[in-house]
Amino acid sequence: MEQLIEKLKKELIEELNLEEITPQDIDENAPLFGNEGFGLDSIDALEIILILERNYGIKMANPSEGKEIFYSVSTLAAYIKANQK
Amino acid sequence: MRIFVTGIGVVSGIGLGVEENIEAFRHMRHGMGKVTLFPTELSVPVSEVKFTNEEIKKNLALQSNKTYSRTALLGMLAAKEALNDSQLDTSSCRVGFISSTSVGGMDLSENFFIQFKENNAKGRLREIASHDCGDSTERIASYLGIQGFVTTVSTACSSAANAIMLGARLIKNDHLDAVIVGGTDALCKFTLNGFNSLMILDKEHCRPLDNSRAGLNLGEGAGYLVLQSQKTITQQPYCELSGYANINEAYHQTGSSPEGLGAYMSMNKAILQSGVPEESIDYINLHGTGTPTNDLSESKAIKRIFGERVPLLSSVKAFIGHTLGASEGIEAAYSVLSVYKGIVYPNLNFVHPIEETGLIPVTRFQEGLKIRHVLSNSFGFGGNNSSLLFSSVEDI
Amino acid sequence: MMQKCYINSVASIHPEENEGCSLVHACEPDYKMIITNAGLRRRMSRIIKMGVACALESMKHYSSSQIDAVITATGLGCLSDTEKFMNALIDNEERMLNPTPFIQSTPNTIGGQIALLCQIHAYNVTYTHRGFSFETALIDAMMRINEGDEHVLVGAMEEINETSHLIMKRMGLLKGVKTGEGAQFFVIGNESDENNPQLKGVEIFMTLGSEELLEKKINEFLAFYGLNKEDVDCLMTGKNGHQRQDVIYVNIENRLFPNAFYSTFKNTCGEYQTASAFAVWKATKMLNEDGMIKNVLIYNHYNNINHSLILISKDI
Repeated sequence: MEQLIEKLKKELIEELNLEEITPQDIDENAPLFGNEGFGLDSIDALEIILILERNYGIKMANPSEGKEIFYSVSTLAAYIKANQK
Repeated sequence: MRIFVTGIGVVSGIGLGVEENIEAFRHMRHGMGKVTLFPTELSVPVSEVKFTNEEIKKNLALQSNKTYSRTALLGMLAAKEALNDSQLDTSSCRVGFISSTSVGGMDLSENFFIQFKENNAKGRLREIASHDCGDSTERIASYLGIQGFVTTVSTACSSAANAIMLGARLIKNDHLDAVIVGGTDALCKFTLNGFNSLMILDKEHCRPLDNSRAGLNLGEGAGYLVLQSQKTITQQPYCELSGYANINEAYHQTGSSPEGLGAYMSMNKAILQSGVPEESIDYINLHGTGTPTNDLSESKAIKRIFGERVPLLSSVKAFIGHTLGASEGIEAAYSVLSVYKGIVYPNLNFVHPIEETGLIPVTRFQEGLKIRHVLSNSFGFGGNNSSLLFSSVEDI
Repeated sequence: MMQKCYINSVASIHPEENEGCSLVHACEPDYKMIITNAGLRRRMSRIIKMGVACALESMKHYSSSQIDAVITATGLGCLSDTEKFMNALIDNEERMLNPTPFIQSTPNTIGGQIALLCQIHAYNVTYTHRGFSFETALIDAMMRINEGDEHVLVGAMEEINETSHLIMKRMGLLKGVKTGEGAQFFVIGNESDENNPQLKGVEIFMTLGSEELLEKKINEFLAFYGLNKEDVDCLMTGKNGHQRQDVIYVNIENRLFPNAFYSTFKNTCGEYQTASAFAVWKATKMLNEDGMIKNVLIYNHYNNINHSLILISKDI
C-alpha cells in the first residue's frame, strides 16, 4: 500500500502538472479537492479518472462517483487496490 | 438610439431557412441522429445539418472544385437569408458584418493534420488555410458583397450574443448604419472529442431542464440577424433589441457556479439596461444545454430574478443540439420570431422538474400568444455569460 | 463627440532584436513571479502565460474593481494546446483524452483566466479576426469609454511554434519575412493625470485595390481628427521584409509623408496577426519619451488583406 501511495503521488504531480510539489508535500490523508484541501478541481477529477484507466485499467463511467473515492490519496489508493484488474 | 431587427436567417439540424425550422418545431421534429460527417468511434446523438458540403455549394451557386470550410458554407446560407429578408441595400449606407465561431475551419484542419502528422511535407494546404476563426467571416462577407467593417468574435458558447451586442453598439456609436450579426459552427471531430473528454455529452438524446438530465448533445448550424437603427429602416421591423449584457462569472474555467451567480448577473443586467420590468418578460429562451450544472444554475438564477412569477420558458437544444458559436445566432432568430409571431418553442424530453428549483418548461409548440418581451441566454466556457432582450414594437 | 481615451498603462512581452532569424520568440519573464496562483498557472500554455502575465503587469496599479471591461485579441489563438489535443486525438484514436488542452485551446481562455485570477466580473470579450483582431479590440475599448467606462483593459497575444511556422513557410508567406509572437496589454482610461498619450482613432478596411484609394482613405482618416498629412510627426509602418508587400508602405511614405520620421516595428516583434499591438506599445513609449513628437500614425496590413490605421497623439 505504501508503494502504491508513493506511486500515486508521483503520478498526480506529473499528470496534473503540480509544479514545485514533491511527494513529501502531499499528505495522503488530507483532502485533495476544494479550498480547504489541496485545491484540485473538477478538471483534475477528469484527469484522475484517466490515470485510473490508463495506469490501472479501472474504468469509471460516472464522474460523480468520484467524490468519495477521490477524497484523498489514501482513499484513491484503497479504491485502486480493491478494483485493479 | 433604438436598434431594430429587420432580417433573420437560420440553418440548423431541423431545417434550411427560418420557415423549415418553424415547421419542424410545429411538428415536433428534432434533428438528432448519428454522426455522418466524419468517421468516429464516439456513438452519441448529434444534430447535423442534413446537407453535404457539395449540396450547400450548389445551393449557393459556388464552384464545386473550390474548398470552403463547412463553417463558412453554413454561415453563407444563413447570412444570405437574413440579408435578403431585410431587403437592405448594402450600398445605401454603412453596413458591417460581425460573425462568431468557435471551431472556425477545424472541419478541414483536422483532415490536414492527419497527413501532416505523418509527414510534415504532406497535407493539402488549402485545408489548413481556413483554420482560423476569421476565415469564415471573410468568406461570408465576400459572398454577400459586404466591404465595410468586418470582424469575428470568439467567446465559446456566448460568441454570437457578443457579436450581436457589438453590432448594436457600433450602430449606436455611429460607426455603422446597419449590421449583419450572428454566428456559425460546423460539427467536427476535434470539438466532439473535446466535449467527450469533459464527460458532458449525453450518450442519449438530451433532456434539458429534466431532473434526470445527463449532458448535452452537440449540433451545428448558423444564425444571423440584421440590425438597423430607425434612421435606415425601410420596412416594419420584427422587433427591437432592447437590452443586452455581457459579464464574466469568474468562478471556474468551464463550470458554472451552483448558485448561478453568472446567469443571474447576466440576465439582471440585460433587464436593467432595457428598462423593461421583469413581469413584462413573457418568455425565456434558455441556454438549457442539458448538463447537470448549467440547467441547475440557470434555473436558480431565474428563480432569483422572477420569484414565483417565472415566465414561460424552454430550451431548444433537444431539437438542434448545442451549436456552440452559432447557438445564440440561431436562438436569437427564434427569439425574434417569438416576439413577432407570439411563438413559444417546445422543450423536448421533459418529464420531471429539477428537484431544487421545480421549473416546468413549455412542452408544446404554440403561436399567436401575446409575447411582449423575450429574454435569451447563452453561457460559455471561460465564464463568458451573455443575455439579450428582444421587445415587440408598435408600428414604426 | 467621442470621449477622450488615454493610454494610461502599458506592458509588453516581445522578442529582442534578432537579425537574420526566420522565427523569433518572445523574451519571457519568470512567470512564477507574476502569475502567483500556481493552481491556475500549472495548466497554462505559453500563450496563456504571456497574455495573463502581461495583463497583470499592466493592471498592477489598479484594483480589480476599477476594471470596467476586459477585451482581448488573438489571430490564431492557442496553437500549442490545439496541436496537443489534435495529436492526442489521432494517436489515441479518440480514447482517454485529457481535457485540459481542449479547454485551453479556445481563444477566450486568456480573457477568462484574467477574470478568474482577478475576480473581474465585468464585460469580457475576445476578437479573433486575423489582422483586425487587435484593432477591433481597440475600437470596442473606445466605444466602452464613450459609453461611460473609466478603465478598460485591452490587449493581444499571439504565439508562434514550429508547426505554424512551417505551414506558413509551405504556403509561401514567409519570403524575407520572420514570424514572431508576443503579448501587449494596455489600460485605456477616460482621464489622465499625467498627460498620457491619447488613442485618437482606429480604422480597419479590406484591401482597397488601388493606392489612390488608400491615400484618400488616409487623408480622410486624418481629417476626421482635425489633422492633415503635415501634422503626422511619425509614420510607423508594418514593413515586414516581404519585398512585394512592403512596396505600399514605401509609396505612402514618399507620397504622403515625405517629411515625417519613419518607424517600423516588425523588425523587432516579427510578423503575426496581432503585431499592431506591439506597434501601439512602441508608439506610446515614443510619445512618452520624446517631447517633440505629437502625432504618431500607424499604418499596417496583414498579408495585404487586412489594413488598419491607428492614430495616437499627445498634447505637448
